[in-house]
Amino acid sequence: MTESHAAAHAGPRFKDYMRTFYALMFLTVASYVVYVTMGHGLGAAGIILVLAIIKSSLIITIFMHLYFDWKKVYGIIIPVMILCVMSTMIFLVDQVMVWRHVGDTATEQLQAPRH
Amino acid sequence: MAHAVAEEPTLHMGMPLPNGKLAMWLFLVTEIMFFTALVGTYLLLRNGQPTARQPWPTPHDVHLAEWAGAGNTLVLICSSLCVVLAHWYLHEHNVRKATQMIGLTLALGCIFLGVKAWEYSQKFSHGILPGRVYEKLDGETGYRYIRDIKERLEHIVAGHGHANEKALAASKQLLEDLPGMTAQQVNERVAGTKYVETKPIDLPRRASTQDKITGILEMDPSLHLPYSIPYGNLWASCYFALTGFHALHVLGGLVIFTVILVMAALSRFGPQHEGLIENVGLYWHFVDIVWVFLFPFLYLV
Repeated sequence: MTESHAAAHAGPRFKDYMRTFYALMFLTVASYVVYVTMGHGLGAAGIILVLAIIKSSLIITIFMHLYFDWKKVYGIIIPVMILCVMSTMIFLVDQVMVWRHVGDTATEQLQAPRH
Repeated sequence: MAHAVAEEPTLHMGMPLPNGKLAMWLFLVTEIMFFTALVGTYLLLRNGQPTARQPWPTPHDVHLAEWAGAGNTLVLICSSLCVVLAHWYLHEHNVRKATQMIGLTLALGCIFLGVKAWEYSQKFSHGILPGRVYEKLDGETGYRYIRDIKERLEHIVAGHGHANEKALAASKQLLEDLPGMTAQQVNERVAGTKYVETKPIDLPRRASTQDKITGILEMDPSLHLPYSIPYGNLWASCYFALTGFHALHVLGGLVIFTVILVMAALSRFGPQHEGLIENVGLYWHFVDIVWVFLFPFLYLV
């Protein structure tokens, strides 16, 4: 209990929570505005994903107190992050293989008149 | 001797944080892996199509309302703030305010699930379910498509579909023309040339007319008429898997909040539960983070 209280004392202040909340609301509206104005392009996708990463970082650091608890839980989180990056890389390799082996040839096959 | 032992500093094994919090973080990392696998599989399926020229369904194709997704994101962010404030008030020994915040979180979670249920009902009513979407309209699928369209047109023409005048007239005309038409031609009359031309998967066998056809659904988008959606089944599988598992997590959180409110009603909730609220908050914020990524991946990108 004492430990919990000490951790809470070291945590964010009320106004930190409110500022984070306003930032999250703003970023959500911003990502929707980017979608409406820029559509489905690669540029819009990049901006929207960057905004999502910023939003999740804010939630993790302030709402989940990781800014203050990092030294206590990094041993759990870092291995998982490594695994996540590795899984993503494995998925990406698979996608590149799909593009290389199928690519436009399949388009031509699919769009060719059938007899 | 006993005095000397008592003066020794107490040693703790493990990490310098409460057991409950450690357990919650361990649970959350397994959840991170679970959702990484789900989202990664979705991205692989979405981008690993045979060709880049055959597009993944757009939100409009599958009746996905982006504004509903954005609204749900705002709802979850508000609920995250409420949980964090509940923890704050409990730390300040203000149990009444903390209970109110938990109640508000529960209400916001219910709103999220309500919007999700409405979105699901939209998919169900348009037949956008795994294995139920018409993709290529050849062979047996084309025959089933025509039979399905015939039944739905009869329903609309009988006045049950609440179609506008223009769409009603087009539906009557299509019902008359239906015998002898191919599934691709019917699809074009339903969805319109503008839509069909964006789906090259059907280009080789679509109607050979040079005229642009305005589809019945362009005249009245509220009508429940199926049309060919290439990769629609794959999209539906991904959508329901991702949002379904996320909604189950939201439901789990709501059960815990309900238990806390029951405890409060029985006057068994107090500052001694600060650790519990912090741990529940960690879980709820994680659910929020998952949605922060699901929203752009499913609705915007």
